Amino acid sequence: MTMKKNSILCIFMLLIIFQVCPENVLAFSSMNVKVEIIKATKKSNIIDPQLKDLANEIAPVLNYTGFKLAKKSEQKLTFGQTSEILLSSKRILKLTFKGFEENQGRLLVEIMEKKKKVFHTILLLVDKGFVLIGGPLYEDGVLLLRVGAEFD
Amino acid sequence: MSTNCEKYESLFDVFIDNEIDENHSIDLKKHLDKCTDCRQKLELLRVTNEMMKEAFEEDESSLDVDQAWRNFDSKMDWGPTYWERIKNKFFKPIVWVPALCTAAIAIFVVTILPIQTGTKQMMISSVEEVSSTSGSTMVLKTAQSKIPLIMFFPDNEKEAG
Repeated sequence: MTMKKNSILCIFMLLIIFQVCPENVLAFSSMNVKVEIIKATKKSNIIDPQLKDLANEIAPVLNYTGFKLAKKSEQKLTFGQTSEILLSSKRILKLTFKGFEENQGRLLVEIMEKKKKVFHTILLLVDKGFVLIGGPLYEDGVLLLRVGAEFD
Repeated sequence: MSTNCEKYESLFDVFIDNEIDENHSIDLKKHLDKCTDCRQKLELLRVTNEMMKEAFEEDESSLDVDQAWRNFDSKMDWGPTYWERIKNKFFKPIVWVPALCTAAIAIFVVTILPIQTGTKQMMISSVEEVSSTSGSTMVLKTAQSKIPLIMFFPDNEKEAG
């Protein structure tokens, strides 16, 4: 009988913990920014095995059939820190971590062309979430950037 | 027994209780001096009367009403009280254990689970602002997960395309 009472108490304690401690209460100090540079083309049907999930997401929106991972980069950024990734000979991707707000990390993404800013966006990234940036033409397709983050 | 004796016998009670009037008392005493039967009867009546008086006095002093009621109550089978009947019906451990487990699961399913799932559904990254100095931009969403997809079309490439 005591065991049964204890098990009921445990269930209620777990419920209270679930209720009181949602996962977004945790505090983070830095962000691991993951950038994948993907070549998307209409002239190929080859999908990189690592990008199958992405292809399923994008194919109905953009009519690209081939996806190839061209470059992968991971940077740990603390508040105010900036990192640069070379996209092509004349384009640079610039990432600046602007801090956390509630359960989201604010990331400034800029594309520089010959030291001139041609594109800028502010992303509110959730932990293990990502945003896609597409458009710059590259060879016979476009470049897609998958910008994701993991919080530390 | 003479008729005269019967007449005096009727006075015995009031005589014992000292409630007899003086004239009758004198007459009765005169009769008792002469009549042995009546003397014996009066004596017997007086003794009986005293015994009964003593018995009653003893009962009154030693009677514990509460104890007597408890004895009486214990001997009576009144059946379960109203509260006992409710307790027996609803507070049986065999009923409470599964009932509490069911309640806990129900609370979890009805309140916490939607909150948790709702939080996960809300956990999608978003775009706060987007702009371009040399091209146009468009924000779309992917088909399944509704992940933001920013499309950037540089002007020089449009012209070239």
